Amino acid sequence: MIEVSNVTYDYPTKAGIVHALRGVDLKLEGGKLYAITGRSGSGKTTLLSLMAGLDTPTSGTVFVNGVDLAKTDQDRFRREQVGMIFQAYYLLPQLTAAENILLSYEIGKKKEKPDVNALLRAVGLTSFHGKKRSTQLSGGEQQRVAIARAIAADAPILLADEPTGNLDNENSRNIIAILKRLAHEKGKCVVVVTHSEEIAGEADVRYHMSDGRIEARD
Amino acid sequence: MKVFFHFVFRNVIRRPLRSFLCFFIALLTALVMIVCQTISQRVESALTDLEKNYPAVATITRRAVISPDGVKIPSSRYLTVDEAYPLSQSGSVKAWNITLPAGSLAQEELMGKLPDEEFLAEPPREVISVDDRVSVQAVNNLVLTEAFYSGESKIVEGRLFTSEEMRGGTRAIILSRNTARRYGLALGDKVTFDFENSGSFSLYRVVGIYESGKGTELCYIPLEDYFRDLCMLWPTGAHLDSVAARPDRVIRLDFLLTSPESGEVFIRDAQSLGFDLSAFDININDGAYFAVKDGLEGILLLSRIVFFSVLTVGTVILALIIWFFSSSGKNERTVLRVLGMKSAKISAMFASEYVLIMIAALSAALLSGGAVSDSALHFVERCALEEAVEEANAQEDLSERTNREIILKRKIHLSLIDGYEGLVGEVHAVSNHLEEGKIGVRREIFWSQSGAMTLLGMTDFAVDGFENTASFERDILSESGKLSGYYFRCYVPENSPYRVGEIIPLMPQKMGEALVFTGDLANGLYRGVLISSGLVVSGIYPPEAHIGEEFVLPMKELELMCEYLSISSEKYRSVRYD
Ligand SMILES: Nc1ncnc2c1ncn2[C@@H]1O[C@H](COP(=O)(O)OP(=O)(O)O)[C@@H](O)[C@H]1O
Ligand SMILES: [Mg+2]
Repeated sequence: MIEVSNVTYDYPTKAGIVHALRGVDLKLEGGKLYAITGRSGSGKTTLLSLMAGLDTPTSGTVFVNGVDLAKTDQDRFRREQVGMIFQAYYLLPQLTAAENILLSYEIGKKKEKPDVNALLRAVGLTSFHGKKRSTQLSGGEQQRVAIARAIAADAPILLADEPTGNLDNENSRNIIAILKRLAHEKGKCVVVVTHSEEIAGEADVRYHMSDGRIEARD
Repeated sequence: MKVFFHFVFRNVIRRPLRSFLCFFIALLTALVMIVCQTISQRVESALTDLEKNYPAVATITRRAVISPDGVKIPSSRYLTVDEAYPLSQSGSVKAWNITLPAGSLAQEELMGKLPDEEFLAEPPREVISVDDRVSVQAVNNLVLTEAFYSGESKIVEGRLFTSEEMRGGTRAIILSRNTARRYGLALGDKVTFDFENSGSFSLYRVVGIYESGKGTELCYIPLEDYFRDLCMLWPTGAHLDSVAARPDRVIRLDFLLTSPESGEVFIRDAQSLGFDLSAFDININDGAYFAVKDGLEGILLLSRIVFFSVLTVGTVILALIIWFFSSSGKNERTVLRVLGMKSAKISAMFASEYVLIMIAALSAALLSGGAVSDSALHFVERCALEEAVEEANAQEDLSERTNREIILKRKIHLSLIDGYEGLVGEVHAVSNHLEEGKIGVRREIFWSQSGAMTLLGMTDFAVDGFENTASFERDILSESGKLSGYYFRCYVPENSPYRVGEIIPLMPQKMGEALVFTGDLANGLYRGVLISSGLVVSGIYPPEAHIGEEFVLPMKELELMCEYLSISSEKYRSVRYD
């Protein structure tokens, strides 16, 4: 489904070029849950954003279903294929949790209106939380709303950047269960970046990143 | 599109702090700009209004000498009408007024009320003596007289002279209310003047009654009529001096300028026309104008400075606010991009949020701008303009007017809201040349064998007692076959020794101020005179109230005659081309 081929990515900064990715090769398929671990700064977030089509690689290619992502309509690709959970949640503060979850529907990514309450319940929240602004929610609650927002899009590819970083064990497990179900039952390609060994253990395939490279596959 | 605006509106409403700040700053900026713009516009229009309507008058008076003990002694040299004419032709002059001495009609002159009937050849039986409180002033622009210009005198019944009346012949008079009361005169009544008991009199119809703050009792008549009646009625020959002197004792000349800015041009014109600036003072009452103009320009400059500073500061503050809030927009952008929104659309959306706020602010500013500008205008007027106007008016302190030989003054009433209150009343424009068909007279004193005689040229013979001699042609060159030269036809008074067809020989010679012609070759006094000329009597006119004992001929004839005899009109003040 997604094939990352010899991809590098440089951030030009004032202090010089940061080589965030130094030649990454990956092959991801639908119906599987992938975990990417690695130390902070190893390039995980960068890799996810390249796979989401938010950026194009400095060199190398990201193929999606055999097509070079850089040469396709990336906006359309994201609209139709990608759901994403950000490390820093990125909830829109001016909107309620429910409205954040409904964003994908409003933008036209999804035809039918998703059941917000069901989504909230799925991530361990209630409709009560749905009415609140993100600023009135705790970090964990915000993270779960962000997950619900990504799931609501119902996209074939789901990229999650440390989705359980702020969650307690129970909620973490619950989220992982959902992601696993999405992969196994709905045939989505789910990629989870995580520090948690427990979550990584649940994945079908594990990758480890270090210094901009995929180091080991176990 | 629906989604687009839904997002835009939602973001505007859901971010009240940002929206309010932007709205507030934009509203404030726009309001101040509207106010400044309104003030600038009003001030500009006040400036043009002032320039267009401010009655700037250049006054020419005799130069006065201040004696060591501070007494102002006007020079004994009077202005003459001759000196005035060239100036009236300056391009910077719109109209002018000549003030002849108020007492130019003698004390014994009579004034009386007549029944409204046919013109009488006899003086009225009941005459009322003009007491010393009443005198007559001949004017060619009543509005430009000191009393009317300053607003001290105002017409309370009837009207000012019309242009028609100013051209002479209709004999209109404007009286003060006191005079009218005393003599029981009302609008439409006819009054007579008997000039120095000459036996000739003139009927004047009352067209206006004025009230004077100072209780002045001047009667005003059009200058044209003054010239016409006085010049015609005055006995000829013997009164040569008085005829010449009287209209020439001009106390003051007031030239209404085309614009208060043209004062310099006027003075330059006066100099280039050879006006004797060593003998006369030219004062222009544009001081108040420039004082007020300065004040207005100060306001204008200030409002422009405020306009641009507020525009700059407002823009900077808005830019800062937008910049400050843009950091939170970064995450939103990423989220929306992941959700598949095009980057350009996101940018447009963000921009639209500000555009929407700006439109709202601008609408609010426009809606409230009128009211705010109004109060701002009042404020500026109270705080800045009124002071400037007051200062200007104080500079022209009306109470300081002690004599009439100073510049005309008038209080300025200027408001940014109501505009400039100009000089009301009819100021008659100057036509520098006599209109075709209008009467004008030119008087030349000649001598014939039998003594002095006055030749009176008239542009129009449509006067009682004359036929229109427009067909009167100068076709009599060598008519008699005996004399060579030019001969001119004339009417002679009935009591003259001449008969129709007779030739009155004339010869040019100068004698003092008057040009003397004489046919008295016998005594050899005027030898060497070769040009011969003469008048052919073509008609005799009966004794007429209007005309004295002049030899009357068409103006064109007289002009040709003078030209033929090399009498320059510069030398002879006899033309009244107004
Ligand atoms: N916007 C950026 N500009 C410059 N350098 C960046 C930027 N984002 C990340 N980096 C750098 O790129 C490297 C990889 O970052 P990232 O992909 O965020 O790692 P991880 O998600 O594994 O912590 C790090 O060295 C980080 O400092
Ligand atoms: Mg990261």
